[in-house]
Amino acid sequence: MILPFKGGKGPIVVALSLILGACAPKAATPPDYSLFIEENPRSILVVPVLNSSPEVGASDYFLATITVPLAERGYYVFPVNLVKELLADAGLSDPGYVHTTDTVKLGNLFGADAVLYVTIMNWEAKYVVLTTTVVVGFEYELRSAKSGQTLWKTAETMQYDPQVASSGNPLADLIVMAVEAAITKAKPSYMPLARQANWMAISATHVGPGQPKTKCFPILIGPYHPLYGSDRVGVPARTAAPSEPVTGAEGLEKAP
Amino acid sequence: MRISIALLALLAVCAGCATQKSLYQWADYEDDLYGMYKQPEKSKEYQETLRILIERCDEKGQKAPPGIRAEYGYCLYREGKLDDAIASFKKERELWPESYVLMNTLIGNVEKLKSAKEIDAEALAAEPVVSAAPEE
Repeated sequence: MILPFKGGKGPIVVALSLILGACAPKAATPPDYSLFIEENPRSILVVPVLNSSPEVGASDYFLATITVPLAERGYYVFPVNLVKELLADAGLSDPGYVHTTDTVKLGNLFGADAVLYVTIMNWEAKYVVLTTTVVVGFEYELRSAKSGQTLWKTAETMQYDPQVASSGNPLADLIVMAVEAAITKAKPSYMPLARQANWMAISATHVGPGQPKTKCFPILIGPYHPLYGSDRVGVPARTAAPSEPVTGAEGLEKAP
Repeated sequence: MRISIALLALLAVCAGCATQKSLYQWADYEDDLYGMYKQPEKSKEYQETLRILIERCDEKGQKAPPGIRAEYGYCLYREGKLDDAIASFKKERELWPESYVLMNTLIGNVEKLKSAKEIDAEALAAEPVVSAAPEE
């Protein structure tokens, strides 16, 4: 990674490391996708994002990063900016309020199959003496617009730590670190981190290279993706159970 | 530096999707939407990106990504280009049946606005005649 600092000494090589957040940290066992498969949503409405971080504009900035990964996963994504404007016109610009309104009613208003609720947990740069760490963290919940039930839920955190490769000259290293930290602080690059967090949460099946082989539990592949259905093999849909005669017989036996 | 971080991020992400092509082209959609949120006066750049993106998709016979024509239609509506806005919403509805309910609502609302404007315009055009009319 080369940062072209101007100062007569030529480019100084700085190694940057990106610490990958492990996807869905709590999910040791696969979540239940059966309702997701049963309802088989085709379209996703992303409502204004709830912001628990101190960064004032984070909700909007986040909105700019969410459409691409969802659409590339194979879903119709309602136009996020248009939706934001329409909700604002309707007096629903407060994410806190939108997140507590009835999912089914909200979904019906737009004709959406599912509604995605995102909460920003972190969006900050921590300046610690000579380095700056940038952190973003999000919680995602996809709810059915038919039943209001949760179809998919996850959390993702991404952290960026600049690390300076030692040049053998401690004083030079110190200067490089200070410059790098100042640059990161002046203009922290949240957007690539937010994008990466979204990709990890929505699409990744495993965490990145060199990471422990943790399995991720992304949103199932949607109808516009060529691999649609490939990740639903062997997962019985919830509807299959009641239609089976065995279940009916069991139900009768258990009846008093 | 931003680019290098983005590259790094892309590399890491694409470990899990190495063989996968993207479904759509997006041009600068993400960057310009972010730019507009950061500086609202940059809304024209966002609109221009949408226009270029649609043009490119049309040239190549590709589908514009989900929502893009609706977003563009909304920009046109804000500019007062109501007919163009309606056409863009209709195109979104045609490309993406999932947008049917929302597009119908928008088309209906813009059409109402349009006819209200036409009535106003007629009234305005008729006004001098009315005021000049001796029978009033």
